[in-house]
Amino acid sequence: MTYYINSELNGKKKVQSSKYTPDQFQFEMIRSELEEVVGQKHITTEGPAKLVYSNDWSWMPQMWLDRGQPLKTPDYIVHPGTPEQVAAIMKIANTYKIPVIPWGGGSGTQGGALSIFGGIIMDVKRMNRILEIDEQSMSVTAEAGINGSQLEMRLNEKGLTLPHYPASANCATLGGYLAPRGTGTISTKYGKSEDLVMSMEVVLPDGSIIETPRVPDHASGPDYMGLFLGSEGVFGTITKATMQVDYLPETRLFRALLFDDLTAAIEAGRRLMVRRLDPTVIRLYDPGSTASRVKDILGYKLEGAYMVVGFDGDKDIAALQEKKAMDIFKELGAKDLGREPGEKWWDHRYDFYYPPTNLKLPWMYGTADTVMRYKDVEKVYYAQKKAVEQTYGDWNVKFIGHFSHWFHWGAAMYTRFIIENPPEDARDALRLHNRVWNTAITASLDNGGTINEHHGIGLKLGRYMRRQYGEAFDLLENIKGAIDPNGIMNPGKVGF
Amino acid sequence: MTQTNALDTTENCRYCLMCRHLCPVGNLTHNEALSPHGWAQMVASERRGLLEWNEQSIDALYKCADCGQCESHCVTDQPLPNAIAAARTLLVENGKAPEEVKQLAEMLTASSNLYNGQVSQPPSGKGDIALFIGDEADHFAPGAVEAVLKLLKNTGIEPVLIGRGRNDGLIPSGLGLRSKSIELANATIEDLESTGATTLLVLSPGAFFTFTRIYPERLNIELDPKVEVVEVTSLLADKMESGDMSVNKTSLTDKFAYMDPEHSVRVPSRFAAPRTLMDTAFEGERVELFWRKERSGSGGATGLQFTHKDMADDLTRFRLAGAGEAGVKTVFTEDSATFGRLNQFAGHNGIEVRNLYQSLAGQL
Repeated sequence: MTYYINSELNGKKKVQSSKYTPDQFQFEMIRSELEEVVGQKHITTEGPAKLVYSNDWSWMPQMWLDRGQPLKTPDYIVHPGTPEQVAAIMKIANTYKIPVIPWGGGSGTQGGALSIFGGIIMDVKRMNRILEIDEQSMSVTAEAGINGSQLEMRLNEKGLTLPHYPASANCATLGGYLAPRGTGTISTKYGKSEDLVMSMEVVLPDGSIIETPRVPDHASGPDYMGLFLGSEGVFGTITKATMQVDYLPETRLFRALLFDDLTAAIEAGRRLMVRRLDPTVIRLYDPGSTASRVKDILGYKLEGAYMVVGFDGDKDIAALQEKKAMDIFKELGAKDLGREPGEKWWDHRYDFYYPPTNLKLPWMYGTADTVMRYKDVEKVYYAQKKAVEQTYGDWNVKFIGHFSHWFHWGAAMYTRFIIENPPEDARDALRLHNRVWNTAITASLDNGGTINEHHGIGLKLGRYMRRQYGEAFDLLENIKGAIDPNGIMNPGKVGF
Repeated sequence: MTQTNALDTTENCRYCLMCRHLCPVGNLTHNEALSPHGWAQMVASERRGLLEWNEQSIDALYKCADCGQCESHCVTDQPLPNAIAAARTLLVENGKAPEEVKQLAEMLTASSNLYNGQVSQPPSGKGDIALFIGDEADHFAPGAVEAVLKLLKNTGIEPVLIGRGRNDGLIPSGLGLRSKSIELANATIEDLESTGATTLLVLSPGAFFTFTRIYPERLNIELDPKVEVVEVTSLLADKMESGDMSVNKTSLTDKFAYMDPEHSVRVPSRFAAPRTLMDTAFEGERVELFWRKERSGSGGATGLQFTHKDMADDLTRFRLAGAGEAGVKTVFTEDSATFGRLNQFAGHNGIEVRNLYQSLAGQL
């Protein structure tokens, strides 16, 4: 916008074009305050950075940009180096009532890191130190901005591992593991990120820096650490965490199996879990996924439900666990495909996420991962499949899925919808996308599933929080109002 | 590959984050925009009219080190460095290149040398084996070329020298000076052909990568298929292992390490050779650095040293800091450019940097 102002200087009147808008005065004042906290080198307001930080790994903003449409960008991108700097940023943000969006790797798939109201992107990757590796207590304490794979490589140097292997490890941060209650490939044995965390340091929205107790299991009152697990930044910013670690296993055994039908395969997985055979991984692809993704990525042309099962640890124990599992598989009529296809899956398990073999634009796609008790697993799967396929048949929607994380009481389902020829117009595409999600989530919630298992809620699924929690969501809203009265922490996310 | 096809790689990389953990610039800046997907997104966005190439965006695009980490770690081998080079080439062609790049272009026109303005020397004769010297060795590590010749002579090889003082084209091509790089490459090929050599020895993984990959993939130039490109380090390691060469073993009292030079990650088959040389020549406590082999990032010996010197310096310091954290007192490397940069900052960390070729030659 060009502003014209009448000015009189040395008796001469003239009309002059101004260089800056009125808002830019305030913008620069706030920028200076932020700069004093983090240093000039660690703040950017430049266009290219704002563009790149305007989107995360979720389909909605990526599609929007792909169609040549601009997104709301952050006003400031700051890189704090200490929790004290995070606290100081929060004080400034409260003063001016500016949104703050914590940013780790930007690898979330739900739009949880989008700056939909502008504001401050607080990228924590500068806080990336390993503070302690305690080999006696088998734990690592690190700042929350450390990259997942870098942390893992450091631990591996000592023969240790943080057994949280998400597909996003190369880009996600430790804080990003925890904020959406993430799950890794071998969670079936080692647990989700929330099971691996022992304690955390969090900067609250008012700038207070708190630490949770050093150990996770105690009876010293309620476990408030859980409040920040799954909060995706709406309750505060995780700045440090202590995680349990394990020794790198002496052996890892993998096998692949083929089931004629999904029911028998799910039952096989259930029996392994309820008999406590402690599998590292059970990855069960439905027939649709077996025929498409397994074929495209691993090169196996198979009909049925493809399963990879793994055991790790001491050689003799893993071998015995595998033997007992094989007895179960045999009872249920599975065909043993041998080690090679299981090991190949392990070696290439992340290839599914690399371009150009990943799901990618201009396709429309989404992963409606959910979790339920065993008695509801098939009910949810078929309800989602039927609802999505029938409602969006005109769009030739494909519905595929796999079962990736197993518990003593149930399993997580990772279902995907794919529309290869979505509307070209960005608005039409976004609306269709959101309608498909509504269909999938409704089918899940109505049949015993949850909104999500490990990808979190973000912007995309916030509208379902009250539907899942009912009046209990009031409790969460009251907590949010109490600790973030200005509503500046990652607004619009997780239903807040 | 056409420049447009090269740019198409950004369509795959713009939303992929799978190589982020090993991008040295991303690790240094912690800035999403200054990482592989950030650069890819900028190029892809410019093609969609969402970004203009202005001072800020051009500056950001030129902060990629062209180190090859992203491509080397990509499961599907996306050639993102070539895409960034292609985008920079378009900027150069449209007169939008940064001033530093324009100056380099002028320097190359005058001398074919990026560092000291000297004119390259003609081939030293004819023979079956040629050794490409380039413009880095004499500039960064005076005496290194003579050390290499002494080592080779010890194995019975007396190569013809070509390209002494001439840049190999890697850095210019990465900076978007494609036509200059093609001129450099053609001049070197002409020299090579005039010698009649069928083996081309090179002094660094960067040069090896240039002749085997940059020429065909970025410049559309093919070496004569009869010519085999061999790194001197690999040749010497083979000679050591076969017993055709030996050196007097030297004992080191403090911890020491080999530092994989710039572009090593682009030639993974070379990781063993320098370590063989190290273990043959030195005894004591040799440790492996954390940033080693396939994760050995850039040490700043790239185009960044011309366009963003502070950043290049930080990358060099970062690698030395890694050696310091490991308690290493002496670092060895053979690539002259890597050696030169490390040596420039070594004193700050109390670390001695030694040129591997010169050390080996001294122990013959």
